[in-house]
Amino acid sequence: MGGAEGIKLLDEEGRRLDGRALNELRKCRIEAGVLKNANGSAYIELGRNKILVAVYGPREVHPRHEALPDRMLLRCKYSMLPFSVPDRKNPAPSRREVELSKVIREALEPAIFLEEYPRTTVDVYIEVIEADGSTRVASITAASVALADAGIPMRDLVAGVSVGKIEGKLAIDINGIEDQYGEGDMPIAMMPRLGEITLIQADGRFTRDEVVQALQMAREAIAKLYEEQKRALKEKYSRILEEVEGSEVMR
Amino acid sequence: MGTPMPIRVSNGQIVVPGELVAEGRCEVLGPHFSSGRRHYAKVLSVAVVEKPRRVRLIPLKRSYVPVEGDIVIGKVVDIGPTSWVIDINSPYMALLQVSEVFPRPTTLQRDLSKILKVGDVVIAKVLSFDFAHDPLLTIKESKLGKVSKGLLVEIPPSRVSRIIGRKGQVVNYLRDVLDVELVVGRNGRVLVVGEDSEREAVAAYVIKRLCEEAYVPDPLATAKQLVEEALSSRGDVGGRG
Amino acid sequence: MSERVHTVIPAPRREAILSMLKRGERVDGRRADEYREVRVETGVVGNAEGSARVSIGHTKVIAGVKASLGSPFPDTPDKGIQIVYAELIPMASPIFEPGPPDENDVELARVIDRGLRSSSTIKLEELALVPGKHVWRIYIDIYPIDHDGNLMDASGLAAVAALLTSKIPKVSISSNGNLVMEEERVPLPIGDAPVFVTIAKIGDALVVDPCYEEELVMDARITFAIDKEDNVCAIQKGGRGSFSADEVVKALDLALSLAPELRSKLPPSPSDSH
Repeated sequence: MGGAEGIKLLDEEGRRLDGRALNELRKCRIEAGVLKNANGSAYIELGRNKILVAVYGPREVHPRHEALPDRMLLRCKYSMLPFSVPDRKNPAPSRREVELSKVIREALEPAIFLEEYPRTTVDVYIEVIEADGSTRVASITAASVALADAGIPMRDLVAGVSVGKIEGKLAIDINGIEDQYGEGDMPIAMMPRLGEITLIQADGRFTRDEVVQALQMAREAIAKLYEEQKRALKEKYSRILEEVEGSEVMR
Repeated sequence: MGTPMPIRVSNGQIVVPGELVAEGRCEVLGPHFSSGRRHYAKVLSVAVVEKPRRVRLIPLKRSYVPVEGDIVIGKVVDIGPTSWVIDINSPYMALLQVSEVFPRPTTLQRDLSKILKVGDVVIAKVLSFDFAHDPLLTIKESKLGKVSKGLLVEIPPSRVSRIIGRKGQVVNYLRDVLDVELVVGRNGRVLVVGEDSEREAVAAYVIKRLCEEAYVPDPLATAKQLVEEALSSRGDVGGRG
Repeated sequence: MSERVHTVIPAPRREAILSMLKRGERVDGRRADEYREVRVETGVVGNAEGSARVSIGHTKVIAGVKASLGSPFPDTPDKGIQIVYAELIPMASPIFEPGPPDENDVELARVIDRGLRSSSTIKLEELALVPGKHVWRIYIDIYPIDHDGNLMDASGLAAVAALLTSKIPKVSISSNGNLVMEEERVPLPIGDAPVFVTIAKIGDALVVDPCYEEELVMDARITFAIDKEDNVCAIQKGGRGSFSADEVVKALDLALSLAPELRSKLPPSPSDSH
């Protein structure tokens, strides 16, 4: 795997192919409320990743018998558009998309107050428009912004980052090449305020201490993503700030 | 003298779910949850600091959940053997049973669509709702029933109280100045009925604009401003009264 | 709808399980770090290249390995191909319905696949007969036949045991470039032998090898695939709950401490006998 193909992922100064340091995130920009029809939506660019998320709900469950009597159902569909990757991806759902839909749902579920709207569903649709490594965690980061934008009650947002292993060293937010030629990939998602991990997976080889270190690195990166999530949501509705400050509420 | 003020957000600040709003003894209104003495926003909201120890969280988006006794404006979307299915702009579809249509028992009408058909709009009252069953409606009482004229405006359900205003200020103002009657459904639907369709349109426009922003400090003043703008741009200054 | 009968645990039972755990007891009398009885049997399917039947408590899984010749993937012309498939069939549990693979079938297969691939259990580079043209395709098919919790660990054990005892025909290349399959069979080239350890979080407790009732009550689970050198070669968190970072590390340490015991149930690796 690593280096065997003749690709050096780190230079002599320990900088990565795209110039980043090992613990550096790619440039991340999130926009909230980008779609008119969806109840909530968000768009994220993380490096060359471009992912759009739409949330519909709470709404009636179809088919009706799938409704849960005591809580809201959360349904999640992760999908990659055919032109999102270099070799056209067949539009039919792949096994990878089926698995990612499940783990993404399970990453968002702990944050939502599901008991507030029994017998309804909230549907999260994730479309990867362009992919360049770490799409599942970027999707989670955008999806929780879309859920907040839709007014879904939550105890925290959820943000995610991948920790990779390139030439024996742990690296934050690996891109496509680093994922393909590196020695491991560990996507991690957390509720930032609570410090609770809602998604953790791995492939490759990690020692026990590397897992501990990865968790720490992820936590720091997720704190930065959380700031961007808040910024995106606040900026969307910031016009209100001017109006309220112009009025005297407190006398 | 060191205890920090309990409210941790500034007036007009947008807060995200899970964000700390206040800590310590104070009043937090609007959707929130608490952990010990810490209070957090539950949904994306704007925080309005009403007093040094009172903050109100106004959700930017909130679905309508039916409450017994609410007046709602609904749309017939389906017909069953003994009931109609009514869309009340809620995650919960409502049912109107044929027994809740006429004040006195009448001869059986086999074809329900002759009474109400798909697409009809009704003003109804919520008879009951518990999360285990669909909400049940009635149109038996006075002032309820099928709507045959007027304009229907949809606004975010959480902003309905703004239209009603303090003691009906906004409703009364619009009635006086534009000669329209408003039926305000708690589910975010407002019916505007007037003799003059132009005035109806102005009223509908004003209501829509009034409810666009998450927070409006003085709804009556804003309504007046909007009405004046709308009337003057149509070359009709003054209206009635 | 009828699965509700089998997936909704009666409240008093749930309370009982939780309060027992607070006292450090599990519903079947085990300790938190104790597996149920593990049995591994290999060579149970004559027509397969390799096979195994594993039981952990009442959970039973059969895995079969089949090999066939085919073309390689375009981007790895000099490697064989590994395909892992799993199906949660209706006989195993009243909650499984017939039909195409759903997210649970897919997740199970993909986690096992990652554990095998990351640890190079099958040495795929030794399965290219004619690079770019003919390679061995190894299919690992996993079928739980009785579900009493922790299908992941049982499936992992079955898949690895089947692979360790798989034998494929020896293939030589004739003078005119054709492949000749011989009568003689040789072991599949095996690298590592990972074991899969699953820990469930129930309230504040972390318990290994959850039985079905514990799975109904748990907040979340985490599975670690551990190779012979104590490296982690796969991780999968599942379920609607969450773990603190400390809990993840505690669960990992628990998995590392139990891996040797699980591995001792596996048949020897073909390279061991040299």
